[in-house]
Amino acid sequence: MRKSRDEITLIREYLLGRLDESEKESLEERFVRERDVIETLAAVESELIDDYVKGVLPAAERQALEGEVWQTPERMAKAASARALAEYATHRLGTREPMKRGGFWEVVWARPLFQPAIIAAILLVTTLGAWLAIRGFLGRPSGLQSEVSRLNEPGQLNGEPSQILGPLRPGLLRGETGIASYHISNHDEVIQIRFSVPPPADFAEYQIIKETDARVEIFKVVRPLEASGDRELLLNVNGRNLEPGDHYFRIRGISDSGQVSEIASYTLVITR
Amino acid sequence: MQQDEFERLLAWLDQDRDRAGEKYETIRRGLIEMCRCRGCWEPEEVADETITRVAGKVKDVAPTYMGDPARYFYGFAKNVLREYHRRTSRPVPVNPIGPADDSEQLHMCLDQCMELLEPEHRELVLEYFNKDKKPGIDHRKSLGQRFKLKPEALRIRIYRIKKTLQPCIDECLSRT
Repeated sequence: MRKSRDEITLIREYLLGRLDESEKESLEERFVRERDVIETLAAVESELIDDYVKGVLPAAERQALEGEVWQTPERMAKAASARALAEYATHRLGTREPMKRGGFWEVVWARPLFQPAIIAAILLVTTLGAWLAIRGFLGRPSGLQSEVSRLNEPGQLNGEPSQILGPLRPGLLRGETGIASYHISNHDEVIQIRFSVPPPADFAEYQIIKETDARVEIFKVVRPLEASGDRELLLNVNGRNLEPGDHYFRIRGISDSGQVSEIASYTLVITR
Repeated sequence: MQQDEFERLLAWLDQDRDRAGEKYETIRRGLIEMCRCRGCWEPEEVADETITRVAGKVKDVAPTYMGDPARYFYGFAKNVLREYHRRTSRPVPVNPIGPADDSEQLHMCLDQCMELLEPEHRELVLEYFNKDKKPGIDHRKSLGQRFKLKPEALRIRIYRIKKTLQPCIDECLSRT
């Protein structure tokens, strides 16, 4: 065992399938002898799944988690649970009132003298905030989500895409020869990204999910394109909205009964 | 497993029966984790099969075996797991881990179960999973500072909170 690595790193490497056989066996032997290592193992695994769900894992680690040993019902359930928590937390924190802390504000509110002043201040801030929000909303150019939704409408696309990227193959590793890297000019208006969908690919509807650090965007694609025996999904985006750097996409299939299945992940590097 | 085999097994693990019981549990749990991490779909079955087979051999092995019996279990488990993989053909995975489930029912259950957490734990888990925050090491670092937790402690805390939440969510979903 390499002694220079701390235990967390060792367990993480183990879970990612990066230890050689002797290191792996040495660690697994500890599972049956040391009770504490099991909880650390479970916590590191849980964190890896959380990072996968949040889309922050590097492509190679992400691909490791999409390998066969991770495709057990139990681990799938854990990932589903983490994804649900992420959706819930984001929704709840995005809509909730400030958390009650029982500190300064409760003390101030408890004094009747301050109550009218606080109400007036809240009204003023709310009105100002609403006015700024409406002004900002009306004045701001539409974001990628709405832009793409419009561009993906067949009748709305003005002419051919100025550049076609792909077809992308799933599970590309950053830094390896298979990486899909594309140079686009700043003036490209409509960029078409083509995704090769691995079999089986027979869903009523597909969703392409674009993940960045800041947000997750979901684009619906109703019909895949059959091209020379391959099945491809096409996504038209505004080139101005494809920033230089790594872009991660996932494809989901939705069956007639509404069952959602993750199909594949893709990495794309944009340069200008 | 026969009762006398089980007794012999415990005696091999430790002369003190309580300590032997603890070692038995540690070995079983460890075998389950090992099988689970190697992609086994029925880790409990493989672990129990291993223990049953080892128990049948203790009479012959124990008198001459040197070292920690746990290592013997581990070595045996690798063979049982190999057999398991040979005889089971798993469906080809088409879904990278985790089908999404954002149903209202699930959100309702999360609402209920979150309320059962201590306020600080609730706050922590919500912030940890908040996708609006730029995730990664910086996010964890700032959470650690805010909740006065070192990285290792934060990892374990989140894991334990999730572990607490899960049975509540499962129970709620089965009710509704």
